[in-house]
Amino acid sequence: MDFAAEFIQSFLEEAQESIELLDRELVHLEETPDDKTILDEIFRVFHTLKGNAGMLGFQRLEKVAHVTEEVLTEIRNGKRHIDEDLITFLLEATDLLKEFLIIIEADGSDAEGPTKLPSPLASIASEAAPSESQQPKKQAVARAETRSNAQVDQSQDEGESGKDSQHNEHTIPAKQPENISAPADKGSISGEESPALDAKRPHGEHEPVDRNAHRLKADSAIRVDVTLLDNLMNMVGELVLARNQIIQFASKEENPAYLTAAQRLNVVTSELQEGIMKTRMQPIGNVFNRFPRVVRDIAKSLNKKVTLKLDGEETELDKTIIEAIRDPLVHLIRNSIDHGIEPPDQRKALGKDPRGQVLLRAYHEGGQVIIEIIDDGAGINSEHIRQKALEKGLITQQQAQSMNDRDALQLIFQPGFSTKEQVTAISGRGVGMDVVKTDIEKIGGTVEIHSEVSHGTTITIKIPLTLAIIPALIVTSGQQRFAIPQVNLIELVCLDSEDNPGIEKLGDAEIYRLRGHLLPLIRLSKVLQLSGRQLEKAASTNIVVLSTGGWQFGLIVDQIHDTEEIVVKPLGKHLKNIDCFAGASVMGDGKVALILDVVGLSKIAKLVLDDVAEHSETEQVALTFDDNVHSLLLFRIHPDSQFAIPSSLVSRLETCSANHVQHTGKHEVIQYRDRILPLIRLETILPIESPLTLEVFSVVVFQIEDHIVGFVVAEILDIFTTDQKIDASGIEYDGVLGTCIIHGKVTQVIDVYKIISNQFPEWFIKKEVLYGLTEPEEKRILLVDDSPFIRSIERSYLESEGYSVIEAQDGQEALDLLNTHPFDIIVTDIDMPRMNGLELVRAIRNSDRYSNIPVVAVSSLAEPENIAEGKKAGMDAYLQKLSRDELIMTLKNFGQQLS
Amino acid sequence: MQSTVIQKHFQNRRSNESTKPFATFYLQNEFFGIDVEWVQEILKYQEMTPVPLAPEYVCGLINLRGQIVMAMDLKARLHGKPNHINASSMNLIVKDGDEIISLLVDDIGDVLELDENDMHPVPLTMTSMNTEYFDGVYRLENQLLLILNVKNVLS
Repeated sequence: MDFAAEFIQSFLEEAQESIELLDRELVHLEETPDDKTILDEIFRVFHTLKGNAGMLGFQRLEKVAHVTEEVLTEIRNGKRHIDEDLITFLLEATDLLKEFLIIIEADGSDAEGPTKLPSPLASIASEAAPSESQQPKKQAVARAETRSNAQVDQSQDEGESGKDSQHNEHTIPAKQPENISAPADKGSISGEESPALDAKRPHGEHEPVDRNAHRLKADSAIRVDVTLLDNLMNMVGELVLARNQIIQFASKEENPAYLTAAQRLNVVTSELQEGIMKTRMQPIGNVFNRFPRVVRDIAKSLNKKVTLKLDGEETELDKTIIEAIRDPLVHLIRNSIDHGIEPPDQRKALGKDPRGQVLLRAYHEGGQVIIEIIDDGAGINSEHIRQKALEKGLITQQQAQSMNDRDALQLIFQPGFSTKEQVTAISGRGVGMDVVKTDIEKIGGTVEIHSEVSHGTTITIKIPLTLAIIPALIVTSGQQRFAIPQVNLIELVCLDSEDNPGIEKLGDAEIYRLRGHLLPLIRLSKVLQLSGRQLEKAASTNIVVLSTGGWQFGLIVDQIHDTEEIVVKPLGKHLKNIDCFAGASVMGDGKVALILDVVGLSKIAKLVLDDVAEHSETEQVALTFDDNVHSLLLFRIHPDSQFAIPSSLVSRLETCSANHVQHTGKHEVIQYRDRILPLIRLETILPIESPLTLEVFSVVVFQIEDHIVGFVVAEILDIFTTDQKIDASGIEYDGVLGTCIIHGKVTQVIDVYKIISNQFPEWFIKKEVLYGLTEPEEKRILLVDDSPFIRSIERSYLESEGYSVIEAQDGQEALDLLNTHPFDIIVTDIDMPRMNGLELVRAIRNSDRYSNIPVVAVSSLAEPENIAEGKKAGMDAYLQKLSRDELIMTLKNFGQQLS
Repeated sequence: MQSTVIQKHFQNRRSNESTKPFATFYLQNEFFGIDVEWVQEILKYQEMTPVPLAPEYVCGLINLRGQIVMAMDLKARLHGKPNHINASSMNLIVKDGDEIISLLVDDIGDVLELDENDMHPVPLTMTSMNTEYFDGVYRLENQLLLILNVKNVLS
């Protein structure tokens, strides 16, 4: 198998280095025999060589190393002293090893190597290891004799006679250590000749061979310290930057010679960059090749039969990535065999080959490397995954039902997910697929899983070629430049200020609807707490849509620039733990820019969704709520029925586990941010089918002045913006404002205030009444708005406060009503057909009958200039539309003035 | 292997000599020194890229001939109060293994050759700064010279 050859090759390379080291260190040792560190180092080298040789089955070589090691052990124990003889012995042993290496390189085996030790070596060694059977039994020979030629001859005589001549060549006179390190004309066997040596070479004939011809082929490859390559890489990175600057100048230059030189520089730099990149590249086979063994062991321990096929081992990847990909691959392959491949009898029963197949494949595609792990095993039942995810509380019942099979499969990458019922030693030890996913994402990669039940599973990993130079999008925020790795970039969205619906708000969270999907938004300047002044009311908003591992979010930046190739440099240890940055880079102008870490940012974006923070009053004002376009929070209680609540009324969304619910009096409550949150179950109020009992459910939280209350819902579906009219006809129940069709489903819009006031009437009775200070008096309000939807919401909270409400759909109708009915207060929209709110208030102020009626403007246009204009026209108050508490307070004030 | 031998030699040589050169610098009127072996170079003020969310003592990143170097507000590090970094501030570039860090100081002084045996321990009564950041103190003719423990300052 090829891969054995590769092992041998790397063994040879390493051994060659070891021997060079030995040559050097042995001489050092002779100079400073007391230096323990040198001795230890030499011992270590022999020990490693012995181990490696043994592993590859080079028994003879192993024996030489072993004998030497024994001798070294004795030296270390103080049983032997280092003298010239001993050093000679060690150097000879080293030379012997060299010969072995040459033969191994030629044959792939050491069978043809020298069969016995050169005599001085043999006799010294025999003292150390008397049991060595192949050694001459000359234990009694005094060390002083060992160097004599007579001794050499003697030992040869005792060896296999056919090989005498050969050994003669190996035996190096011990008194000439210099020769040993460079035996130019002695003791050399060229690899090519060696197989024939024993048989053909005439006794005693010396062939003078050029030393160079014997150099190991492994010499043609050199090992280079990776840090040196890293330095080169850095310098090339700088060169690329300098080149970019030169090119910029060149464009202004007219001297043709200069232009030619600049162009030449351009080409050479690119080639150099490519070349240096290549030096860091390694075939992925370096990782793949260890898997046959891994697979064999795992399969055996599980009593399964598995063949591993490798494909595309030559695919090259940056060294750092190769190292990073190793562990995740081992994990995934283990999983494939453990969870995927069925036991042989089961496979037989299914008509499959009892021997399962796992294909590990790598190839280049679009500047990325794709690695696939394909097995022909049982596949993954997505239903099974859903069930498991439900049990673990990772998803809700509704999510499980609405999730497609592909999405369901990706659940196995969620933390805390493991499908195997039985925990085995191989996989399922709690180190889940989530770790694999994180590891791959760390190097800018992605992982996906596809499966077909009973046909097998494919896991696809996509990783960048290199981490050192990456294409990146340059953006600015708060007047600072940042680079975003292109691999995470999905698309760019530019929103004009007129774009509707634009960015929507849910509590504190900003959300953009991108082709029907909710995209959580984070503002870079906010995340990084950039103090630079924000562009006020920018004409457009730039959203960079980013993705990590199948989940997307939007990053709002001030400006988007070009993409550039940047050289990634790590941040020092003081800055490493800032999640938002992956590194830094020197830009074309010589300044430093930070590289954003999309995985780190995504954690913040996730928080945006998970923990919709309380929305403060100022943000409530910022709620965009166009007259005709309303944003609805869609949810389900029972799978068959869909409901909506105007999302602006919602204070927060929370998830709650059923076992946290407690009962007090007639209400269910949960503890929530150190307060008691009463829960309302809509199915107990409205005629809705009872929902399934849920372990985990969502709570839509409302705030009424300082009271909080939550609606229990099974699943939050979406935030949906529509300009549909809400059909209030045929409403049979108190608590429903009307119906509309959303996503093709009849959706009931809930009258939140009605429901809350029915459940908690005490919250709505004015405190004065409660204390018996004043009599409740029904004030008559004329509510003017062209949107029936707005009217219905406003009516509901005005009525819940005890006002009687009459509606008008524009200023003209309001004036007509004023002529026929008495009103205490007018609440009006501004922007209306026929007669707008400003015209209405002017008409009221100019009339003689009702010029004193308080008029409150309620508009979505509540900028200071609008308010000033309104006040000038005669408005008594000017409020943001749908800010309930504010409106109630204002009305109360007017009410007191009136009475 | 060889490098350990060299290191050994080096250490032997070092221990035989008792004086050491120290690079000195000022933070306002306080006088500090560090073993010159730490110092790679000294540069005038460089433009910096601020690092959001970084600790207060991180002033920013500078481009040192293509290498990205963190500039540390040494005063913020030692005193916990940010210094007024301006165009007259100097970069004392120190090398800590593979990492290069610039210490922003107010002014650079001479290199002083001082006897290690004359160094006194930092008085424990010094409360304004963390004593861990110092190896010791020299009592010079008209002022005190605090010797930084660069390792601790940088870690």
